[in-house]
Amino acid sequence: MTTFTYPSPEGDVQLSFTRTSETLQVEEVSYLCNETHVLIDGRRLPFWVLEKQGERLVWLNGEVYRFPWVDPRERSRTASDTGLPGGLVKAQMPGKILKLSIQAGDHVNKGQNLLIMESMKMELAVDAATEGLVTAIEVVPGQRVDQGDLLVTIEPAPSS
Amino acid sequence: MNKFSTVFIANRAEIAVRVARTLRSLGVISAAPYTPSDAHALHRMIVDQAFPVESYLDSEAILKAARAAGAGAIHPGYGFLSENAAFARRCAEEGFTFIGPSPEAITAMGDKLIAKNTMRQAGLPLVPGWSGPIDEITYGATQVGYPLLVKAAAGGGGKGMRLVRNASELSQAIERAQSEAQKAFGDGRIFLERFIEHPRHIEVQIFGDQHGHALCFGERECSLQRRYQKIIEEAPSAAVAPTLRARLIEAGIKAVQALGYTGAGTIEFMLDKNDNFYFLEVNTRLQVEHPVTELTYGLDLVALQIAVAQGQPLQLSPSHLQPRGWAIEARIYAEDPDQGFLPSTGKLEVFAPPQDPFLRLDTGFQQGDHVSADFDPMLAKLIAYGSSREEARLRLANGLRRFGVLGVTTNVAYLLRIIDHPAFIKAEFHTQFLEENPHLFRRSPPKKFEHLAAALAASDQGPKRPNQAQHSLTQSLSEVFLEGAWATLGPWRAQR
Repeated sequence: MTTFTYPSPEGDVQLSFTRTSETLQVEEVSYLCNETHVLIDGRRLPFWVLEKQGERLVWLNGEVYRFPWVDPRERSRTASDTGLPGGLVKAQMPGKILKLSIQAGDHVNKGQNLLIMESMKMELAVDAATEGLVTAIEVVPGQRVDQGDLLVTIEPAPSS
Repeated sequence: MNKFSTVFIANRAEIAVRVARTLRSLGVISAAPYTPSDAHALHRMIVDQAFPVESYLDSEAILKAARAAGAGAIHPGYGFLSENAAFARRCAEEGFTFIGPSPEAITAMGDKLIAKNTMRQAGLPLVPGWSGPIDEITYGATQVGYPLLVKAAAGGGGKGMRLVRNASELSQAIERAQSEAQKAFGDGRIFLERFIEHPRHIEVQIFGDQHGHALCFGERECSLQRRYQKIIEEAPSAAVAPTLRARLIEAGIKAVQALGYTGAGTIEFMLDKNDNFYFLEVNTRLQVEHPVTELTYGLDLVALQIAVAQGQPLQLSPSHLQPRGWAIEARIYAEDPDQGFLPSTGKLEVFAPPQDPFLRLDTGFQQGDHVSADFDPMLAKLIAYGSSREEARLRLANGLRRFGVLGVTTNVAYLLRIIDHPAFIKAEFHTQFLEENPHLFRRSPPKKFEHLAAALAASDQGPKRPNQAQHSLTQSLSEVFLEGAWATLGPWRAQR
């Protein structure tokens, strides 16, 4: 028997993979006709797991759960942090730039519109998430961008 | 007898697949275009003949393909060229029967201003509005009163539409609406309309034939919308009593007669709290949500469209005009409801629809397909039928709960939160309900499942290893723990 404990704010949650667990009774995991199932509390539920871009995604009971994932074999050579500074504005989806609302050198306030882009026939406003100075604009109207492309760099104003 | 041996479907994705299936059942050969990015799309695989084109909007390329297919008629589906009068006219010039209304009806109803005037004359009730020269629009706004809507004259599907709560928001809303309308429809004209607070969206399915018969089926309710786009539709509506239904059907019949309408169409209404309904628009095509009417009336509307296009008279027995039971449709979109419904793209690594009795699936996707940003992000429509609303609701919820999709973010969990909500169970909602109550539908999965999911994630199981029947989760978790990967899933700790 193996029990895993998760210290959640409401108290420890135990996940026991036995038939005698009081908290969550996972009896078996089975594979049938290209589907994976987990038998939990007497009910058989399908689930799927997908590894994608540093995450493991689990589809279970109509909901998708995402967990950061580093392969144990890869972990030793992964850099500690590749996080981005707060002032980099990236495209959250592929699309086309329609209109720029700012110029390099502008001072922008938090929530101020930076540009309008179009994706899947919808127009969407991209606003500044932080107050600061626009130091670079990487796109021009009409340009197509992919998800994750850098659009605008803002040097965040020093917090007072 | 089929007058057409081959029908060309000028469309793609789920609607092309859906039309092809009816053609197949009628013994008619189906043909369709496909663009390079759709070279492996389901619709291309399902039709009998497929023809490469560069764009689904290229009418001349579509007509050329239809000619090569030897088609007698063209079914336009919805979207793309379906409400393009010039295309309908070109079809006729080239000797194809256009499966839809006349070009004149498309033109008239495609222009929202002409449509409103026509329907006012036919005796349908209208919402107060204003249209006129753009430099007088500020005056128009004061005449209509706030809150108001800025709408595109050539619009549809929520494109070019903006809600304005007060005068200070007016100029920016006009600018955005004009720009969006210009791009979407090549026509930047706009008009203003009084905003009816918390209406329900009710529509009726109309049909007319070449012999002057007018038909109107009972209502669909499509009040649950996000960004002015429907996501859950049902038939009938819990808000429509038999007397109101009779009034709606009467209005639908009047509209068919006023237009001399042929083929399938939809009249959309706003319904206020006092059972007043106001004409919104006519859609001169099959609607996305047509399956809920098909299920409750037991009729194939595509087959009916084809019969009308062949010149057959619409003669349905009275029993065909009585709805039976309840149908609810959920639209599954590749989008992230927790991030402002941003469209999501990628490969459908897992696409596993449920296969239960009383569930209908309309989709143009299969597992392994790519969802691109080039087209509408709707992945599928799941439609449940039941003898009562609650039975249909439970079947739909159960189906969504077992509809596995991974690889792109979808709205499935969001749809489930709506369908399981007391307001939906009691059918107490309106068109702004989702937008005004986002807090009710935020992600809050049960802890129990979150923890189980973490364990499943760590256990490295899934479709990649389908042959390992009866694999032991415990054993796998132990291995993972020993390798140290468990720690990446947060503060989980193992005890022995």
